[in-house]
Amino acid sequence: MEPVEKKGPRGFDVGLVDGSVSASTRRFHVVLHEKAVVQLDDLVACTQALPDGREVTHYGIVVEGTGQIEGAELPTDTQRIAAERTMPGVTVKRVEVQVLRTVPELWLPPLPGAVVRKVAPGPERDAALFIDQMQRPLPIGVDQAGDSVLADFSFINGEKGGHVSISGVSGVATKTSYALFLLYILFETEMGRRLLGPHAPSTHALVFNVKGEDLLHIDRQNSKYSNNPDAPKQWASLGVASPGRFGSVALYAPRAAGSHEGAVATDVTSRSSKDVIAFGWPPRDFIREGLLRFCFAEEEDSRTQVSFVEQRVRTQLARWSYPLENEPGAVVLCEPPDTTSQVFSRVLSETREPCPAGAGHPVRNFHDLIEFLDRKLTPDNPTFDPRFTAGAAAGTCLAFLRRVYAQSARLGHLITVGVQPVALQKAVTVVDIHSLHDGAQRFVVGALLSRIFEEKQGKGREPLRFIVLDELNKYAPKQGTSPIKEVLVDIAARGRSLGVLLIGAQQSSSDVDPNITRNAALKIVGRLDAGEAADYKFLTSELRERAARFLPGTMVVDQPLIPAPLPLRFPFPAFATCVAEGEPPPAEKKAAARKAFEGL
Amino acid sequence: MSVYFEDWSVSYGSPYLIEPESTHEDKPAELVEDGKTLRFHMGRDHGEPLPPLAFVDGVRRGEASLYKHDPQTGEIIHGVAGAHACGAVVGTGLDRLEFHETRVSRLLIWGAGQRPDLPATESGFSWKSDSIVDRSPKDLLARLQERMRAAEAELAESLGKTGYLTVIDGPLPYGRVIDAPILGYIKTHHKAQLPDPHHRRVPELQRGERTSLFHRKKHCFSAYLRLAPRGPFSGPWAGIVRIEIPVGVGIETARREADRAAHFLPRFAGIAHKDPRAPQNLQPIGALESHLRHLLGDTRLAERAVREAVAHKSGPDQGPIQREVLF
Repeated sequence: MEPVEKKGPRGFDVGLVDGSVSASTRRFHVVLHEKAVVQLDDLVACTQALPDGREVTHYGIVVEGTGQIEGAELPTDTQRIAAERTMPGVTVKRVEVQVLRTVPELWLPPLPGAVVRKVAPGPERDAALFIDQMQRPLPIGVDQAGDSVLADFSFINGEKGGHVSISGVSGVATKTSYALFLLYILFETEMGRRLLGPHAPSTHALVFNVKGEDLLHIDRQNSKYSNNPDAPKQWASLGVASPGRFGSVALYAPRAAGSHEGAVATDVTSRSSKDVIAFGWPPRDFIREGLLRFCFAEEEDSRTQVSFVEQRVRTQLARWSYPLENEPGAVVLCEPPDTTSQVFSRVLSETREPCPAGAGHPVRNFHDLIEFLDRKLTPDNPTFDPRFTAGAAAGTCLAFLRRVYAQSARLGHLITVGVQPVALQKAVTVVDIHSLHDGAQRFVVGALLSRIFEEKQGKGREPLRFIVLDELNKYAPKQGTSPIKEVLVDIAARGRSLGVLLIGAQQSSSDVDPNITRNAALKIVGRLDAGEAADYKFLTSELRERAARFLPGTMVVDQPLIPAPLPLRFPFPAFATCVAEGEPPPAEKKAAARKAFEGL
Repeated sequence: MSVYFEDWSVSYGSPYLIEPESTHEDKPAELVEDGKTLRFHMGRDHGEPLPPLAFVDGVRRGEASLYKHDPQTGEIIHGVAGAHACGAVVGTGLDRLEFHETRVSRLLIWGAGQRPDLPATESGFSWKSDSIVDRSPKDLLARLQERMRAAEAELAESLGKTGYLTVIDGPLPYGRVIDAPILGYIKTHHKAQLPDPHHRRVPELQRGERTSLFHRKKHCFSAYLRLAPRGPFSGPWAGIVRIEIPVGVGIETARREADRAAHFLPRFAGIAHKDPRAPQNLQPIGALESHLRHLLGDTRLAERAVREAVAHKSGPDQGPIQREVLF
């Protein structure tokens, strides 16, 4: 077979810069040689000599391709030219190119008529994609040709920029998969650990699982990996020779809602109970971390006086609580001395001796707490205590109680003695919240994020904390305010310097508070809803249309260094990302088989 | 007397320009086939596959008028700068038709035997000088036409010699010995070729039929053929063209060639809604013409190049040229 493209002095020539239309500093067209095959996302380059002898090279990415028969004036001419062969015509193929980079950086358009070549992997590709400018390159996917696409890690780790925003319609399962892919590269590969540096062992990621029990399996091999013949090659081009499962993972699931008092177990069905830790907050932690505020995370709460009552109650609970003797996690609420501070943080710094249960009102779970609050806040009750209400009207106190009662059914089961607080000890900590009510999900996310954020205050950027949170629109919607949204906006704004980095995902970025999406250095878009594509200003019009028909595994990335969005794919994971892919380790399989035989 | 509608667009006039009195030619043609009777033959291929086809045509254009002035004698000599292009559309029948070789020439034609040159311009224009004895601008353009015809003939012959059955738009070149399979293809009828009784019968041709061969010009055999059926309002001569076959091939081959031409040419007949000279202007020829006109380039650009060249020629004596004069 004769060569498809002509070998030029710098690469394979594919055509000429079209002179019949204007070539600008941002876009130009290329008339392709008859046999050149150039597809979308291919990288091309053209070089011109300036009158002063300098050479300028334009690098670009193909954004659209067109074809036409020159000489055909009417649609029927095509029939005459191609089928009946009674009329001559010349088939022309053109591609439209978006300029990525001009080297040296001169604001000149490409020269019409200049020879255009394909950019080959190596120094030219590195120049085209600014890889030569990246101090700490991190592979974030592969391009159309299977070569790795890189991003500068200093724009992810908070140094020059931070946070990742992933958008895309749900059901294509790419948002979370992509977030996990990034985590995998960072935590489980040699180059990832190299980028994390000496702090790698103490770097942690917190992943919220919002769909099924899917992410409770990432510590297992993906049983469907071998069905994807392209995957090993793609992983290899990213520099990962043998991809596998996440090695260091802690799995947390909420304590089951229907548990008896004192019982601590989860509802998880796809993993054995010893693999999953039931998480929750002992009442002492609940009070001392001031988590009551996250019980009032509904949007309407911020518009009423209830939040004032909540603030007062939060402080009063801290003032009143003493550790319950011999029952770790439990508290006993009793009248503090008058000298006790009214400031929450000061109260926390006090050292308090444990008290016996008889000293006051013991609190071992959320119900105990509600009973106490009911007594203190019901206006007509003789035990009503105005110190808890901040002078609020009777109606407001009742509204507060109503909300506390309502939350009791949703998240009450999480606040009890015996449960484990979520601790970031392993590299990746998965916290399952999928089975929780919306209100409880907001509570868990708010409580965990605020703690991570608090812990990092004043401790420097590294070691980093990555937070993977899907359905960001639920926690930080565009409209309204709530305590959890405040935490997220705070993380978006200050998290960079504190090393708390948000990998947020949402169906449509326009539903999320713009302070959060705007702060993300890496913007990634999977398949978009055609109606919402217009909101993504950083995409080219062609990519907006294409994104509406992306297949799973195809994304577009926009990053600060590169002035154009780049489409990319990421390899099929070797770790399980859903229940069906979770493959129990051989020992467990054997045990299950043995059990089955024993049952016979 | 009936009224008909001329199918050609009015700007191209009528393809039938024969005056009633001119039908009786001084030297009428003689039939060389079918005895003394004009017969009609349905085109056929004689069972032989059609060789690769080539359609050759040329275009020309005067681009600037020049004159040379002698201040001593006051004599003025006219010149014309112009361009002609010729090319071919070829096809094997197995593949699409495509544009073959195209040649563009720029000429500077002077009258009165004069032949001053103009320098080539930086934008890539250059002219070859040529000269005629006459002085009228009309004759200068006629020379351009003659040059174009010569280039066409040369191209047609070279294609014919490499195995193409070549159709040249216009009569066969006169004054050359043609040893290649070339067909002259004449769309416009200026003079009656046949004696009156025969001439009147020509419109009776049906689509794909040709008349008996006749011989009027020394160098070729000729026949009329109908390309397309006559429309309900079309004149009797609508869709009738004349072909010319070089005499050198002999009468037998000429008959076969004529049959074959009547067989394949109708397939390429021009499309009424696309071509103002349909159906006579064949599709490949129509496309070739517009291709060639395109290759001649922008008229304004060509005119500017001539101005630039004239300015440069007179430049050295008059100092550097002012750019604003040119652009």
